[in-house]
Amino acid sequence: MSLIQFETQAGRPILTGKIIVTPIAKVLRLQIPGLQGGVIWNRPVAVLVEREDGSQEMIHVRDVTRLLLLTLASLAAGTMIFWLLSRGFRRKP
Amino acid sequence: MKEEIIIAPNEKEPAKKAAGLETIQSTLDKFLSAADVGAVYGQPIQHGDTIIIPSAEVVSGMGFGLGSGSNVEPGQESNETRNEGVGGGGGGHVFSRPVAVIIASPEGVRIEPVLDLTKIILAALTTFGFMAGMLARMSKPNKDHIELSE
Repeated sequence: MSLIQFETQAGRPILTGKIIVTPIAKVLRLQIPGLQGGVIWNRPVAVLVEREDGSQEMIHVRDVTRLLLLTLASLAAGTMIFWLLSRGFRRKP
Repeated sequence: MKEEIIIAPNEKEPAKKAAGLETIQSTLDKFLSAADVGAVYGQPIQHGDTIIIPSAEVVSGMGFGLGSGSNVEPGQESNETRNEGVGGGGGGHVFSRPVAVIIASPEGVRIEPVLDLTKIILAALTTFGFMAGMLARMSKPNKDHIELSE
């Protein structure tokens, strides 16, 4: 078994009126060979919408909370890098 | 219990180990089955013509360990009482966080994100506090330059 495995899974289609909605999830499995244990990260990625006329549309599930947290973390990291660089420039005679 | 081990130590030890490993394996299988779509998407809720599907992110981690030992070396005969033991332990954590709600109605399908405001506000306060501290340090005159000029 490999160390990291990515898998895309489709759930049971749900019929609502004339639309069929199929939820899709992405799974990340992390298992260290020889050790009893592992980590599983399962998250929703999209829903596949099938209409009566046969058209299909993939609507992505956006994790807005994560996006905002990553933006804040990037801001903090950017400030840190800027401070380190400015400190380095100042020390030069 | 102690006498049983003395009478047939070699027969009991593998059986105990096998039982322990079996328990671990079955628990691990249950843990791996959590990586299913059903774990991420909740049961659809019907409200008139509209169907609401909650979705969440699931992170789970688990680990086990098993060991055994005795006071007699393998293959060594001993007149002393043979003491042996098998032990194991494990731990795990499952974390779930709502991500979005899927609303399917005859008009169409839309996805409403779920915002964790507490987390966002705390992270924003921490980040802006950190940035303010960094900028304050940057605006201070450099001690090295002052010493040189003196």
